Amino acid sequence: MEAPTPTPTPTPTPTPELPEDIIPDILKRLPVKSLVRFRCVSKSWHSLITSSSFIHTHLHFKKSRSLILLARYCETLLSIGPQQQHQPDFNITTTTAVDGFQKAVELDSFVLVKNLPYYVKGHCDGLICVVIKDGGDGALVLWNPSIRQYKRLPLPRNFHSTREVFGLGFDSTIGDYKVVRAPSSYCQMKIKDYHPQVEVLTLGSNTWRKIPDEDTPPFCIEHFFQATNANGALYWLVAANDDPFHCEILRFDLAKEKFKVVPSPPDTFHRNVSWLGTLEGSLCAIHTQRLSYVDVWTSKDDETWTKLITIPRMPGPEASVRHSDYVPLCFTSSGAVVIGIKLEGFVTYHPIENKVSKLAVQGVEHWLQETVCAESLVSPYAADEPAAARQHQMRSAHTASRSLWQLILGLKHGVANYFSCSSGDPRQ
Amino acid sequence: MSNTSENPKPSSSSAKMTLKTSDNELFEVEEAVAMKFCTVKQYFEDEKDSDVAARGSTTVIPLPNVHSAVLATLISYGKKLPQSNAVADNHEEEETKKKERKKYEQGLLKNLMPGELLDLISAANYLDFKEGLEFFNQALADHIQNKSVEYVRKFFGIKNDYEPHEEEKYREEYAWAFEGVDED
Repeated sequence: MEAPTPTPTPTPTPTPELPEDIIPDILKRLPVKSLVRFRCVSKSWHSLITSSSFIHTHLHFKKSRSLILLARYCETLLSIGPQQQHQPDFNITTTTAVDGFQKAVELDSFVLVKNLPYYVKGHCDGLICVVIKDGGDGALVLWNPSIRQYKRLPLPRNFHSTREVFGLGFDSTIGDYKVVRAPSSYCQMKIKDYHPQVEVLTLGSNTWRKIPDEDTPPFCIEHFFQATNANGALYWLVAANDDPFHCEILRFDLAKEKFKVVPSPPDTFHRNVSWLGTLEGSLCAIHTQRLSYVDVWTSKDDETWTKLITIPRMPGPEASVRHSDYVPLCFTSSGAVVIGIKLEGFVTYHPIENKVSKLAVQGVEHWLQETVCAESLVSPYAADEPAAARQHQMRSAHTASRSLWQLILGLKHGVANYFSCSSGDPRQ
Repeated sequence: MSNTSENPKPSSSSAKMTLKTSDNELFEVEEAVAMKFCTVKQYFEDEKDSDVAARGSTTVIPLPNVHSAVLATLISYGKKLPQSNAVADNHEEEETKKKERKKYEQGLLKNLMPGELLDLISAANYLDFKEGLEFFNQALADHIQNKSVEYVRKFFGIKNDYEPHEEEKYREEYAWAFEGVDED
């Protein structure tokens, strides 16, 4: 180690040791970047920061940060997160009215999606489940953008890459994450000999396991929907069997591995739910509606729905038409909710002040999917996976065919952009 | 330097307690504030006798692990917290009080040396002063958030038990986490 450089400010005198339980209480408040760096402080700090109990505490600390990830067509994902300004003394964070969701950053470290079509299928505790169409068999990847680690999962049989439906969740009864493959509408309609079945992969086992046929639901899911993870279950919107224009909420219990239909929130006009997601960890839903307000409903028990907030008319003459494109994303630390409006941009709504404001996010032009992801230290690798295997994963060995495919798509994409014409339906 | 001159306007029925620090300073504190130090509360409840008149005014609670300067700051912070017996304010009043407290907190932190934070945290922990611990832990987290590994080791007095090549490898693998760090 090099000799310590003299510090301009008075060096703090060596202090009496703090009680052991204080250090985790301080560290749990830090962002992931700081914690990854501080794993290097000493071996005991490394042990502490990588321990599953600390990772859990950090994840569930009430002031933990959320990132808004935007998936784009054949381009790297963008990340919008609260930025904080540091002042010289004590890094007192002064947050602006929108708490810093003002700049999008390209997530270049996730090289697997470069110039390739991909979808985010689900997410949980800071891990994202991504399916990539790579010109070969396709890839199914678990990725934590905060710690910049990803892991390729083994593919289930008859894998139809981006047309498949997956969800990711945590089963607290076994303390492990599960990736769930569910029946896909696209495959049902377009793939010959497609047998809808449900399979589960537990991170620890790393193998696919089919659930009994009698537990397979009589529903198929659209492949462009992201699974919602809440209340120990995965949720999707599905078309009702007796009425294809009517939509229902399908629930998959992660522990019991059983499906059921959950009653939708009440609506006087019997409209369909247009969006299902989570806010503050609770399941939320919005109806399609052409009124001057949007109700966001929430449920903790899958039975009773309560109104969480009512968002008033958005500014602009066609506001009411756009209500079906509203996606509530997350709350800021000042209590405003950030809302994405498809093809338009972002706004924030502050319930107490009853104010809607446009949110200009630098660096965002267009996107396909939004995912609100927690900042976490959760690793996509099983706890006992050898370090050598992980190193190999991270260095991402490209196969020749994939490289060629990426090159071709890159050129195609570049040419299309140059002529400003679309190179096909982005919603593949 | 005792803080007896800083006593706020007492409410009509507040009892006072006396706390004695490691450097033999005496602090007279309103019961409502002192009770936020759960260690003190515990001591007080253990020593309680049924004679109300004898309560508080004659009991001197020793705090051998806390220095006067540190206790002064903790008491000052304790006074600014919403009192448990206060009448509920409407939203506007609440917002004003919140802003005032925020301003006070920023002023408090501005004048603190980093090393003093550790003393405050140690003392708040010893006194089981939950709100104080929460506040100073957060302040310390904010302080070290963007600091280098060397700074953190020095600050907490932690010995680096990594071999140079191990550390080098780690820094290379996670180079992104070491970018944009404050200069020491």
